[in-house]
Amino acid sequence: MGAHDLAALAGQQPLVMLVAAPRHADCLLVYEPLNAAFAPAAAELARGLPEGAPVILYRPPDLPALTDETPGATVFPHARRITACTAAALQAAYAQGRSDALPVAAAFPSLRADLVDLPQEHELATEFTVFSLGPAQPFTAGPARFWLICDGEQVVQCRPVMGYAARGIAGQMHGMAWAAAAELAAWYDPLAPVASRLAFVQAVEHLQGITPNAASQGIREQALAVERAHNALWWSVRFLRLLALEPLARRAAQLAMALDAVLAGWTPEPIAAWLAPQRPAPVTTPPDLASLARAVRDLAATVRRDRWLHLRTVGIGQINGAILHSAGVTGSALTASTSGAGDIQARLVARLTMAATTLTALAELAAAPQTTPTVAGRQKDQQADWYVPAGTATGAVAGPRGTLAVDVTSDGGIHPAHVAWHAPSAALLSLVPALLAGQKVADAEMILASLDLVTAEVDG
Amino acid sequence: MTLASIHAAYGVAAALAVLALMLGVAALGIPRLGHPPPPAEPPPEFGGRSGHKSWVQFRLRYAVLALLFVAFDMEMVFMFPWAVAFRAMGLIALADMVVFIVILASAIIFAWKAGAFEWEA
Amino acid sequence: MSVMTAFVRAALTLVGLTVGVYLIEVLEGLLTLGQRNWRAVLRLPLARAGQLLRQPDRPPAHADTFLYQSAPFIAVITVGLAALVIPLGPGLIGFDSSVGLFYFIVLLSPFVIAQMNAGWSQNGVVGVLGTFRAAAHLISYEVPLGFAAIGAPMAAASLATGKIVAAQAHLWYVVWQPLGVVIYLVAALFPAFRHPFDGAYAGSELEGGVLAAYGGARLLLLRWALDGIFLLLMALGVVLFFGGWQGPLLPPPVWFAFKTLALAAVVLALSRRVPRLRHDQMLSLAWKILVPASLVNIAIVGVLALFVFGGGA
Repeated sequence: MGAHDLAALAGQQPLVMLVAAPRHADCLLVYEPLNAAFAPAAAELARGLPEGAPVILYRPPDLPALTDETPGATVFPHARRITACTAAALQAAYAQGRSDALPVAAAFPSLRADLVDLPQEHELATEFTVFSLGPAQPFTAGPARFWLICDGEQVVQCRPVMGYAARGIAGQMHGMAWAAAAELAAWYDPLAPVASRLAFVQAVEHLQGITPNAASQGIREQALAVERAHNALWWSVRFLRLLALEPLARRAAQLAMALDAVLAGWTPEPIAAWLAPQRPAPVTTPPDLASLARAVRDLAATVRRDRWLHLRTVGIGQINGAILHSAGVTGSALTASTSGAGDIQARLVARLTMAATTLTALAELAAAPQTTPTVAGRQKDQQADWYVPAGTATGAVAGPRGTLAVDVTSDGGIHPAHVAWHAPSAALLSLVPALLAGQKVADAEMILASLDLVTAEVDG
Repeated sequence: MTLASIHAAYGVAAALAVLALMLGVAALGIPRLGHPPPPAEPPPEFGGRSGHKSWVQFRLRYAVLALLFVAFDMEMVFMFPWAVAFRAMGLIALADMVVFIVILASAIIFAWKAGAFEWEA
Repeated sequence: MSVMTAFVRAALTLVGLTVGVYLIEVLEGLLTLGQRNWRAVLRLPLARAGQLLRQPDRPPAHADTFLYQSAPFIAVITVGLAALVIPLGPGLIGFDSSVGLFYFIVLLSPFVIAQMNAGWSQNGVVGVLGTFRAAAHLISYEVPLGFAAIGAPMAAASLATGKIVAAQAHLWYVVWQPLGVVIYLVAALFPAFRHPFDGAYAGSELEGGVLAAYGGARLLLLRWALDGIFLLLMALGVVLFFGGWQGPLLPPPVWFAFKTLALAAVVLALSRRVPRLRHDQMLSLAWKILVPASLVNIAIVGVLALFVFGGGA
């Protein structure tokens, strides 16, 4: 869940480095929430740490209490806690010295070794290697497990196991007041809080029969667009690091941090405060993104022209646009296949181009005349009306990974009667087993990373 | 090189091996002072653990290439004494080597054609 | 030569190697973290080494204990032995073997095999995958590396590293063996497991691969050996093609150290632009491009050595 935060950590402070194996780490940063499925895996990683290395817990401060959560403190009783996910906070926590107590609570059971069924048909003298890729792997944002059954280096079968990021968001909403449910909606895809929240807000507004005016709608769209660009840039930082293309990854991290800096003072109040039903957007000046847009476009061109990257990845992880379309995939993963070669490099180029186009469009808005945003004649400070008439409505927005939609059913009561999310990553995930079969282990991981899967939105 | 100087030379090599060994043991010894050795843990495999065995009969997929390597490695060994004598022998040595290289190159071309350089599916 | 002198020479070699390893780490740090962080870059390798030395060594359960424990030692001793034939200046050499170059190339194999032992012994899937990737390295580097290096003894008429350097007094071999230099430098990255040929470690891809289970002093020894072998391969490159210790004004060892570090810096900086290669791509590169090219190189060097540069030894 803290995929962007982690990528940012390594960019903020050069001394914060991500290492491959727990045995080589100096500390373990656990990003809450943990659930019952993932906690044993986190504990296993902590047991793999060298002696004296501390476990550091972080929980986003505005994350509401979740029903399906295993509190980090019960797994890691001696963990240090940081309140901001920054390099400085991490260093301060680490500087408290060695942690000599056992990192994991004694009562916490050791992980049991899992067995999967192997394919029967196998006429060769060699044996299958069973590779448990995950749950804590860097190829998706959030934990997920991919069983790779390999014959030598070749993947014979891939079996995804999900549920390590499940927080039961939709279920929890059923028992919640509408206002609290709208707050929780932002956590559905923690990397895209604006898209998640806006989808829910739109559904509620449909049920209430309210339409925001063009100006308000425009600013909401801007917030969405910014989030798409933001996600694409941070994803490319993570992906380029996995390809071990350090100079390009560093450039992408610079751009992503520049975008963060521009956005820090964009709206007078935080986006979360005004992205609520019936709430008009604040009057804002669109941020000045013209130079950043040019820089991102240059990066996309550099990546497209990179001969080495092309030779390394040509034809790997190629997906046909028609297959993607019938599976219901939307967003940059689809664009990469319809207007590009549909392989790893095409997806990298498609996401960076999308970021550049989005930022250019935002920069052009800065010149356009401004009108006051309103929603159905309501004033900014007026209390929201939380009566939601009975019925079913769908909110759908263009999120960073494609169309993010939510069906909301109301029975006219104080709780939502039914909430069902449609995650863009789930459609892509259904293609993964077919995509990885027959690939090499070294490519399988690249392909997974190139899909930009967010496991939290799949698990809900 | 006399026998004595050869002994002396490899004496340095022996001394180095002994010293490196001692340094390594010393490095291992530092944390043991005062700490009892903790229980051993196998590597955690991304926080998941597969109960399947890891020492498997691994399918290499480049076995033919490995055989080719053995052949070429031997040929490389033949080339070193030739290289030293090459200047003294002149044109004859060059002609010999051209014949040798042509034979080697034909072996590569044959192996290439036969698919030895392709990844076994 | 007394036993005492032998030990002094061996100790000096190890100290020199350790300084070189530190400098390689610093070079890499400068490239990764940027020059602005030079203070951190200078401190980091020492801090990391101190950290690892304080950690206890924990061999994993069900491991092949003998292979697991011996692999770092084999790697370190191999690197130390290989360092003996690198001449820092006239007469400044661990031992002046008449087959120095051959001795060096032969010693690379046990180094790679030590890495394979390290991966296999830990009884984990990532280690086993790393082992067989290291095996692919073993059959990739040796032929092109040896064939590319052979250009220098052909011209110098000796396998002794000191004589190869002395033969380049008038003209460095890089001038008329540029193809050999390129093949040598690319192939040198294979046994050193340097990016982009670091598939056996593979960053996060294999969770550390061959090194996954190692911690503490043994991890330090393995990392020392990895940096050391890279340093030595660059040093041998300087010996074979860049005139070794030779240079005006400054004393020979200074020239030698400078050239080696400069070559290492260039190679590290260039290799960072390439994504990590898959090991079958590495095999293809070695056998379809480097081996044929190195055979062509031998033919070219043979003709040039006899007819063009025949006079000046």
